[in-house]
Amino acid sequence: MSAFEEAAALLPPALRRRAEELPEPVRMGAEEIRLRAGRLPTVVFEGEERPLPGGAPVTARELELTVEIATQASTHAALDRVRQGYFTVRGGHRLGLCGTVRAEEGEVRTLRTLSSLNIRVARAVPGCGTEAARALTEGGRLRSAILLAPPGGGKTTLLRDLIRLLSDGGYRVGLADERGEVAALWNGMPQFDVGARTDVLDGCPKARGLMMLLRGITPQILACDEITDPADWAALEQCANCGAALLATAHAGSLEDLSRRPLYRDMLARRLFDCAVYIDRTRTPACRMEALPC
Amino acid sequence: MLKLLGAVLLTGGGLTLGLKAVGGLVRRAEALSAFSAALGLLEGELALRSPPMPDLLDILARQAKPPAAEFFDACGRGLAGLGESSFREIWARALESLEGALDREDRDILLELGPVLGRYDGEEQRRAVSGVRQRLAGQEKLVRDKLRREGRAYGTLGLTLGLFLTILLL
Repeated sequence: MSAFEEAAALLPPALRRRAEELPEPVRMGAEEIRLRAGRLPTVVFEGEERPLPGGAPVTARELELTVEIATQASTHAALDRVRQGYFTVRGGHRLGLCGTVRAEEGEVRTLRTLSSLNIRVARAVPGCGTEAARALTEGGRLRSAILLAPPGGGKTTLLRDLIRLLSDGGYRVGLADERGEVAALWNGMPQFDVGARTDVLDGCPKARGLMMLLRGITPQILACDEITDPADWAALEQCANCGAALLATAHAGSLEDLSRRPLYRDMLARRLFDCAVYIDRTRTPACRMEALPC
Repeated sequence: MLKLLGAVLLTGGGLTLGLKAVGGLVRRAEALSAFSAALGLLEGELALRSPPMPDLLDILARQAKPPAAEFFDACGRGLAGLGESSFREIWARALESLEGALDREDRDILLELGPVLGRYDGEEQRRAVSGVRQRLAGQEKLVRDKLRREGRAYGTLGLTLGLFLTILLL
């Protein structure tokens, strides 16, 4: 089953059939499936939204059914993630949710009604990290890197491939995969190839997971996706001080973007990373590396 | 000889009718009790582990007493059709199969859980389950009171009806 078919399997039958009618190149390259109540369902392909074949708009019931299929009618079991506005399903595909939130004392309790959702198709792109992996290990010295791109820019895909290449290249990698998007563990088996020497801690909050990996498996490289919390930075700093190289991702178009945010400015000042890797899929090559000040 | 046979059949028929009415009440009380116990189990699971719905339904199908066990088993099998039907519809369909065991009133109480289970957080689900369990326990008490009050009367009435018909016809 292709990544798109896996993602389309989360749709109710009528929408699934429409998705299956898309031309093969679109199915093979679709990045997202977007459903908005009262609007035509679309797929994001080459950065553009294209409607699915057939003219019927998405109904509220179809949105609910999609979430039920994705969670096996168990939203309660994924609620911690639903509260963040998205959750990951088998195969590493991410479901982003919008609708009416029910909040109590400033905390999101649940989403009462859905207005739209987005299925981001998780795909491995083997080889996309070859250049970056070579640069990170140049001269036999392992460098720490932060991967930067805007949302949907391919950070997770690059991180996954870098982990695979470094792991198969002989390094022991510990992966704190809090949302299960990088390795997409299912019954203990990674659904994506993350290399022969990679140990994955799935579902655990990143800060705690990084420390568990550091103590438990003595990794040479520690990797995690989407650093947003001061606690994650503190854990990364502790890991760096213990001699592990770091691989992490953050939402940012450039280093300047990153430096404008206080949390990241502090992190850059602490010099946890040797270099930044920017991803811009509109350019060739898509990855550009810049050494960070020592 | 034929008259005697007819008398026995009429009397027996009347008695069976009475006992059947009693049996229906006993079955309903037992079904209500099985559902109350199963919902207690469900509350416990939601409080302790909050497992995904397929696991939850499997636990209930294995540990509950009939007809609750069959009901939860039917819901679990119904999950294969998620997408064609919502969980609420799967729940409602499984409830319809309990027609012989529970009254419409009892099924309507259970029906309220369909839109709640699996959807909201553990605490909210538990509150809903607890409310339904208490109402089912109330229904069970009513049925058992009725059985105590009228159970013997149903049997006697049936027997009397049979005897009356026998006398009338002979």
